[in-house]
Amino acid sequence: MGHFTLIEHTADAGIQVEACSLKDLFHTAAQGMIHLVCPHGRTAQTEIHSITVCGEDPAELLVNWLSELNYLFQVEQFLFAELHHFEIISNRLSTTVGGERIDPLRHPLRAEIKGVTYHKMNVEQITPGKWHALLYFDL
Amino acid sequence: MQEKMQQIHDYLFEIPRTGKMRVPARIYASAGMLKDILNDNAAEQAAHVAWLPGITGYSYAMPDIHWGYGFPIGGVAAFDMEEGIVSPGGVGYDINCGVRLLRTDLDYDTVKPRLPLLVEALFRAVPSGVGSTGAIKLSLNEEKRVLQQGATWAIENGFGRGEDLDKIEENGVMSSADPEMVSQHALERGRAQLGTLGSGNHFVEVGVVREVFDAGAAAVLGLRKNQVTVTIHTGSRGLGHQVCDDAIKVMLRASQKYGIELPDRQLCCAPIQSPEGRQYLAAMASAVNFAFANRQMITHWVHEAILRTLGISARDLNMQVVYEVAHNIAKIETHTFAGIKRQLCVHRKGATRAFGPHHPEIPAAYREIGQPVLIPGDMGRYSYVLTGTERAMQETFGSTCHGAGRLMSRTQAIKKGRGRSLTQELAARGIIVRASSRATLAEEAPEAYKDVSQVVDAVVGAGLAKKIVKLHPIGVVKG
Repeated sequence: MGHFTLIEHTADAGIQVEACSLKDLFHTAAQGMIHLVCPHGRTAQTEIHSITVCGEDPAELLVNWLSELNYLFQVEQFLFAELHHFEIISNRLSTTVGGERIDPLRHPLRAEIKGVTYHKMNVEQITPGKWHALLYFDL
Repeated sequence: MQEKMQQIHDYLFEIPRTGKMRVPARIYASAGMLKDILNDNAAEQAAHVAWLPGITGYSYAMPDIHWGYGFPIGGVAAFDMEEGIVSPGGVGYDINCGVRLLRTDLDYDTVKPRLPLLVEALFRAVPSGVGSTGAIKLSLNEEKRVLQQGATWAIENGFGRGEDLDKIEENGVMSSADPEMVSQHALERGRAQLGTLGSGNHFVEVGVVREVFDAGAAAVLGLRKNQVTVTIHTGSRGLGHQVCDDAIKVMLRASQKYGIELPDRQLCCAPIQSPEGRQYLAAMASAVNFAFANRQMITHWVHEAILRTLGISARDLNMQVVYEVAHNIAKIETHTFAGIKRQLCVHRKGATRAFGPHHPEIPAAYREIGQPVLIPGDMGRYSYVLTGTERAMQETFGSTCHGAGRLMSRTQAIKKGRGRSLTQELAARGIIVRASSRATLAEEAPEAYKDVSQVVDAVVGAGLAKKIVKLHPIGVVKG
């Protein structure tokens, strides 16, 4: 299982992600992003959404995929819990994600993510079974 | 970076043109402020902006410069209309984030006894907080009309008066908007958010004019000592954020297509005259109009809340828009550069337009004094009203600073606020604060921000603006 660390910055916030596979990297990055907006409260899985994005490399796929998750959060009040299906064919990523609608009593919100940025962005496979990503969010 | 820096005068430093920079970068700041700026890597970002095709003059940074995405916050860059580019990173995610200042006929002593009630009423009247949604949910067709008509839409629908438009940058509507260039995602994100403050550093603030530096100019603006004002700081909400997000995807491809070398992917861009460049400018202008309408609607609710709480007539309140500025925007403007009048695409990201006296785009009533420039500080200290200068026209394409800038990260501010009641501390200083969460309040603590007076002193020292009045907060609603 991957893990993320928050990166402090005066104006905004970032996350550093370590994971054992590309799927795990995406899952953990999504957890990190959701932690920034809703640091407390468990998220159940009562809804499933499909997300498909295109991108020329893993970094673009990750930014575009997290941006779609952020869109679902903003418009559908959907909080991510789990990445299920994950398939990359050519430059196209197809996923299904589980989570639930925000319950204001259980999910106190801390911040609003304006966008997922490419600032200092890095996604790389360090060794087989070890992936790393760095990314920043505009809050 | 520090070793490269050359001091031009007390408030101006230059990073000479090296490597792939097409022009030098210039940073307006005092020597004392420069250390923080260099620690933040923001100067390097200003140098990176100088790589972009068609940049004219210099890549500028204002004294409130800090690390941004692609362009630094506090950055100003103008691009040639034929050879130049437009970049969503040069505007930022919160398109047309801006400030509106309202004046009233009320004195501090009249408001003081009912201040807690007034702040509560403002908090209830203006939806705020993370993901805040408004009192209205627009149909997609109506939302497109907002994107086309800006503040005019709000006025036609009963939010404010026609005369408000004269006192808004662009008169509250950019005619270059094309809602068809705005994605379905952006429309969906904006649909329920019109007339909302949002979160973070956005606010509605009741203030008092405490110091008048230029009584003549203050009188022209309808401002005088001890007078109660209201400041509104917000932008285009999720709609603008999504327009930026969408544009970055397109611009990454466009940068490759047009062979534009980028030192940072977040600086992705397209030639102004390309289909991608035109599409972004039309979508951006639509988001600009959404923000104009947003602040116009909030003004209406502020007006109603004051009347209701103080039990006075609209005539006794006599609330009027002093001015409204945008501080995240790209605009096609005419400037004289190297003695020749030319059209340029001026990007201001965390920077304010500051046109000097006699400019035709300033409201007729203010033409003698220059464009009002509104510089909010933090919720515990003060804000300023400045005016633009001829020197700003000559040096910075009529631009100046936009605010204080953060000193601490959000987490640092929260840690520092543990065990304290910021609400009580501020109340003891005569400032009533209401926020949608304790965490937001702690994040926005006054000490989390730089002292805005240093920023203002630097732009005034550099001749990019003149001080007119200083406002002190007495009531704050935070998102």
